[in-house]
Amino acid sequence: MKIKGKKRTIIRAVIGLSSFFLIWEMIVRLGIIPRNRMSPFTEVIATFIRKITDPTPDGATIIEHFLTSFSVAFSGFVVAALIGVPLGMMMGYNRYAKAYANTIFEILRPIPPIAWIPIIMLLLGIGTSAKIFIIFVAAVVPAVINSYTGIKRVPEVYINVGKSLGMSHFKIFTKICIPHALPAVFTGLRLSLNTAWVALVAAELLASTKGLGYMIQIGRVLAKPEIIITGMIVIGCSGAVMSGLLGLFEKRFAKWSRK
Amino acid sequence: MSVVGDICVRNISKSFNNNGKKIEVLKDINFEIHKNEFLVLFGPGQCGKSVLMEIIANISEPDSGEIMCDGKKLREEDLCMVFQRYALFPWKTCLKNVEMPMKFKGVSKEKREEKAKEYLKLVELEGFENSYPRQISGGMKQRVAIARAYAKECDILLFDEPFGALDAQTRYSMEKELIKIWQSEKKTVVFITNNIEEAVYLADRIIILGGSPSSITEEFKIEIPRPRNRSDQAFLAIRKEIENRAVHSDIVSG
Repeated sequence: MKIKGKKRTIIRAVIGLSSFFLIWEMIVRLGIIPRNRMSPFTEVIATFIRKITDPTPDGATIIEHFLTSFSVAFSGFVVAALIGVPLGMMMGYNRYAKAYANTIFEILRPIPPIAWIPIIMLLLGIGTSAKIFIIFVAAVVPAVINSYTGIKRVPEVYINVGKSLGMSHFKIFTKICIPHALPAVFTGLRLSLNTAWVALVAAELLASTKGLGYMIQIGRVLAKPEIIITGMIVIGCSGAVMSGLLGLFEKRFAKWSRK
Repeated sequence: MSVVGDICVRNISKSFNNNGKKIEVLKDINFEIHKNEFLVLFGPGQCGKSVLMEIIANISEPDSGEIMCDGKKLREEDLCMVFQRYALFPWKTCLKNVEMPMKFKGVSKEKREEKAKEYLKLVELEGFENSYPRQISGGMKQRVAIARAYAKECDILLFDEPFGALDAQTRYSMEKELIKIWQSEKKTVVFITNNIEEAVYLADRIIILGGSPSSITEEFKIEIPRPRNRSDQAFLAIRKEIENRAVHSDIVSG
């Protein structure tokens, strides 16, 4: 029964997806939307396969674009995690740390990452470091907030157990609070990764010479919708894959939270 | 390991601040805890029993008064506490939970694993070493918590309504177990409960807290031999007496 049910779900997903592609293909092939504004599905697939090795017309293969985008997004994400997680945890554990950092954090937090782009471009130009900084600004916020709440939510009784077992404040923090907060931290990191990816594409749309955001921007300039859509699909799939990889990490390090 | 004698609870008072209003919880509490005795602190909910326990355990500070032992302040390493809601660390296995207090004393890995297994055996949980807390029942969790407290190898054990969340049947068997464990390895025990039957079943001596702010209203010595029978005449008589006096004193003071 169970296997049969699973099979059915897969079949339905395939039917749903193929009808979507079919309708898309028909709309363009029948000329409902003109070819210079939208490409049919099959052409996008062909473009994707061609772009794996062909750098024209936008100057780089899709693999080069992906690697450029990925390395920038990943660097920004790592910096955000390395700074954001400890910062959030300290704010959660120590009320003085919170008092110092909270106001400034609350003021900076609602500024959309994209609104940082002009000032960062003035400060750092349009190079890689500028993009990493934009991604950092975007990704650090969920890392801090979730690490903070993760620590805040440690039940008081666990801290009392720690005291009762003769643990020092430092040990209570490292051996009780951090393990307890890990699932929340991972939730934060997953959100960070998503935001990092979103911010990256935004940054590349504005100023870059390579990368997936640049690729779709060139697609628009050259009026080549197949390039735009290929880029969009790669952006979507890579985001999903990265999120999945982080999920595997989470399973490994915070498996106790799973029921 | 240091061996501590009697403990003196001297003039303990504590109040809390509630929206600018001072609420006195404990007022001038004085009593002694004898070495290796099973002392039960009995009182209605919200009477400050747990606050008193936390003060004894050095988790919170009293406004005035002190807890003395052999003429010195009672030290943290001399006692261990078992909490109401088990408070096992969910990311550690039962064995690792029991190992924890030894780990912080710097006991070697092999030694503490061996000891932890012994303590799990003491609470009859052999075979559950590698289970996670979420995989075992409430009664079993509390037994792991007791094993963990024993593993600290201190002289004084504090129990803060440890069986309050258990069903009646599990509770009976846990009380029986606890007495058995305590008899096989004697320690000074301070046990909080709001259940008269539990108090009479377990205690060498019962101290009753009541009033607002709370103070000690009564003290009973229970001299029924163990194992005790809850439907025994002597048991029921003491139970009734405590019930009358405790309820009575509550009316008078409050």
